[in-house]
Amino acid sequence: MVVYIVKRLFGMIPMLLAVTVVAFLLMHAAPGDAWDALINPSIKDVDQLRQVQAAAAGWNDPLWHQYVRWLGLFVQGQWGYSFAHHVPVWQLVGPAWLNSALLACCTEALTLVIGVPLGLWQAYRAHSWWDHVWGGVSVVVYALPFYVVALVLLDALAFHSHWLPAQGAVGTGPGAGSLGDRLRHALLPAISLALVNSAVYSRYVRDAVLAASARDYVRTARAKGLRERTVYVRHVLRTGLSPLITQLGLDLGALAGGLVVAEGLFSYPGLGLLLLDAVHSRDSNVILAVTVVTSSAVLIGNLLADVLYAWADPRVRTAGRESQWPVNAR
Amino acid sequence: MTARAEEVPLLRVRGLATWFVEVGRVTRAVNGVDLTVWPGQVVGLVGESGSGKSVTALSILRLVPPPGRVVAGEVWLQGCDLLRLPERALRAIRGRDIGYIAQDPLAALNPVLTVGAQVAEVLRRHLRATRRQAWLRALELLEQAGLAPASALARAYPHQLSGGQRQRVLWALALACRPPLLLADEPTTALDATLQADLLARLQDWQRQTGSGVLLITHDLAVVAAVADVVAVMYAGQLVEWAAVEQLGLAPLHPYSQQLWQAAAHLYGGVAQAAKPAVTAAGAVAADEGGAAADGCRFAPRCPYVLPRCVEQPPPWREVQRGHWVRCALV
Amino acid sequence: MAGQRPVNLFAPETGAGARGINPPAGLSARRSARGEEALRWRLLHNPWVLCGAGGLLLVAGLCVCAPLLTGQSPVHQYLENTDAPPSPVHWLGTDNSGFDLWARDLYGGRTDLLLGLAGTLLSTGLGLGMGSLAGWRGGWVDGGVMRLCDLVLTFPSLLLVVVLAGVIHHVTVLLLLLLLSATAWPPAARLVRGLLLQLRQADFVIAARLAGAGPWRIWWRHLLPHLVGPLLVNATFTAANLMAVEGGLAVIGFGVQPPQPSWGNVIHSALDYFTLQTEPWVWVPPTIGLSWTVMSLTCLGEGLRQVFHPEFTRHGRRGRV
Ligand SMILES: Nc1ncnc2c1ncn2[C@@H]1O[C@H](COP(=O)(O)OP(=O)(O)OP(=O)(O)O)[C@@H](O)[C@H]1O
Ligand SMILES: [Mg+2]
Repeated sequence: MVVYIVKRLFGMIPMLLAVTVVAFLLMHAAPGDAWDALINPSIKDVDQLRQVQAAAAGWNDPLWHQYVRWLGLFVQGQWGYSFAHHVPVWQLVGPAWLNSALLACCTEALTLVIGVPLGLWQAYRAHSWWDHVWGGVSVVVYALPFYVVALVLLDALAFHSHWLPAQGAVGTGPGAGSLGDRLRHALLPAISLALVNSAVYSRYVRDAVLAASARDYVRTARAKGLRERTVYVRHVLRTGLSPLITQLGLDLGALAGGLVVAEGLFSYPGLGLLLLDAVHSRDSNVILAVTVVTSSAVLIGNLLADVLYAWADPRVRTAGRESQWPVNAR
Repeated sequence: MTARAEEVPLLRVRGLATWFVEVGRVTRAVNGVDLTVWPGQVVGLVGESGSGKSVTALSILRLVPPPGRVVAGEVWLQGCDLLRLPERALRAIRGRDIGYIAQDPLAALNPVLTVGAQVAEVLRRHLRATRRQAWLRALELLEQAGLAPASALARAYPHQLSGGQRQRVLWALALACRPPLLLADEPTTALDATLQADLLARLQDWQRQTGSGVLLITHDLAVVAAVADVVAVMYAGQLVEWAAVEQLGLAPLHPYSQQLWQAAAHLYGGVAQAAKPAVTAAGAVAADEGGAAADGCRFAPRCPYVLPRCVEQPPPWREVQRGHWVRCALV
Repeated sequence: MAGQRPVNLFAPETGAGARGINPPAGLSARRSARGEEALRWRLLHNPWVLCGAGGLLLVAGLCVCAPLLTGQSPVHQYLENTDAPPSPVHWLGTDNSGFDLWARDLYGGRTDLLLGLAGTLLSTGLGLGMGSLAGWRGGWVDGGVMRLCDLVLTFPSLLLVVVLAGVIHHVTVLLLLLLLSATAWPPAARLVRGLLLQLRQADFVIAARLAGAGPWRIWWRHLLPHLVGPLLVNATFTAANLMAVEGGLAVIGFGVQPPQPSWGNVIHSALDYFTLQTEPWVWVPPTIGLSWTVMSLTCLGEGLRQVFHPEFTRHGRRGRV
């Protein structure tokens, strides 16, 4: 298993290189750069200043040259400076990533806590009116745009009752920056995301469990005279929920890579918000770094999914691990 | 068969009917089956694909998959009607008093549990064995079923075993609690002849030792001839003939049984002859899906001797000789 | 799957089933007239399909008939009358920039529906092409296409769109459409590839090959019919997702840019605390429009899934828990 994981980690390298190439090309194909975003074009000698800066920073070199130089520094850990904030990029990306990871863990935990029991109950009462009602409700919840859910919760939990902070990742006053404080700040975006995603999870769990319970080996288990609870826990859930474990890994990776819409709406300073900010100010070093971190998170999530799957199911299969309803597109 | 008046039959099935009710369609997979299995007896149930053999076995266990339902009948085992027993009581009987060998050994084993664990599970449930005792006993059972070396293979997952080995696991599973009744659904298909002979020999050994009754479902008339005492021929959800294996082997009376026997004779009678199409039953009419044929004899559309009255009224289920029952208007 | 029926090499249904390969049920019997009739019956009697299709038709009807339902232009700014409440002239009032909201809701729906439809067609077509190539050719072609899929999936799609949209100043609908399609095709490609890998081994394909049919003909005559159902199901979810993504992008200011109307940018214009609290007519109708459409698509997809994969429905083979 260790060998497998190490091999997979090495396998990620070409993928990450491809990602950086694409990102680099994107940055350079577009008109305008950080200079244009930062400098007031009406100041004196602006073109001359620009020439000096370009020559110093090597902006006139061939593109591949610039790429190789950037890559060489990047792998050495020198991620460059942010043009907009005048600090090293890692000072921005590090805390942002921690925030995003915290948000991802909260979201995933809440999604599981809400979605899985509902799905299990739905499967247990399959084809009853409860199943139909909840099936309908989950379609509605899934179809509600995320920001609507978010705005309603924002209104109810933050503006009216002041139970939860409306934005940011750390508060002010005593206890600011502690884990509890950070969790409180992550809670509101996490709840909104979890509500929407748990609609998908409950559906997924229901179908997986129903499919598993129609299998021959479940019949064998019943023919052995096992108690219903044993049949359910040992035979139906063990196999029925292993695709869910995979989904978990994938989602965790995608969430930890930052969520543009959610973080934008709640002004939650994670990777998504950092990226939005960097895009506005053409902060290319930050954009590149965020892209690499985000892609790595997704790739590690994929790896996690495969490892968990192999752990849960002795027949390591590769096919058919995607769910029909995409979760993290928002 | 009838000289056992003083004994009680082990299993008595009366008028069993199991239908699959779907929108716009009713499949009468089993439609009025009567069977009796005496202790120490092997009843061979033969019939073409889709005639309802597996569904009969599942109905006895009350494990028919959901669109299907047992709509009528009685299943008497040890003085209780299984179809009217509460689920709790039935669970205590399944596995302990009825062993079941499922048709498809790969699908019937849980892919994420080792085969040893799957055998041990039934022991723990019914014999109240500790984890350790159950495991050791499971090893013994696997060994007896011919899985060697059992201590290594018991830790394997089903997909790591060969088809024959999986089938042996199913045997060990079904026989773990020494059930008085064994329902074996094609327990030797997909095995080569020597393995088949080996498993059947084990079956006979076991059965002689314990005096259990066996309902042996199969396609293979050679298997029936080798181990069964009584043969039941099934067609479209009904039994069409029931007789001691010697009687039926010599003179099958129902036209469908005759075709079956003839076809088998062709197959085993020599390769050259087998190339010629045997007397095949044209047009596969499997389970009865309702409609026009519901009135008359199910076999009428394929029967070479069909008469007008065959189509008009259902043929009677008659005992034509001692212990030889036939469902045909012509006999 | 109950028994082993006689194997007929030339009948798709026995060919695939007998080898334990199960192309999606409902499709396997597609060729026979009876199978098609049954499929149509199931389609027309599935409540999810009916609700979904009905909901979509309603929205599409409203948007197509926009000129009949409003006399106002969606792109004209009534600068003398901004931020107005509903009135007989402006049924839903005007927004801060003076746009007539009712007209923007109707015409914005056109943009969204067009984006959803065209994006789905494009990405499904691309996915079908890529997936067929990978599944049929195998070898390094397969490897290459799958790596490309991985790349697109790894490069988080929203980030790609945000980066591009932020970097390229003027985001037109066409550009957005291309961007979204370029990120949405991998699921379809994987689906097609997976199915083809199974079908390639099926008896009826082998038989057709032995009979000398060329790859195009096999693809068209024998394989494509099996792909239609799963792709259709996938397409409805893709469409729903594309529209939700466009909405999300617009809400953070990266979607379709004004003056071109879209539900997302109408909502974006209402995203301040005051408007949300006191002027529900600004943001409630486009929110309902977007939710309603996504919901209809999801229902339709759910229904199609039940029709083409009947194992989870009441009348199909199902489990008891
Ligand atoms: N889950 C199901 N849903 C609908 N019909 C079913 C189902 N299972 C079985 N049937 C029907 O019941 C009939 C009998 O099936 P059964 O499995 O008992 O056949 P069989 O005699 O065991 O065949 P084989 O020799 O191939 O195992 C079949 O014709 C089939 O149409
Ligand atoms: Mg069978």
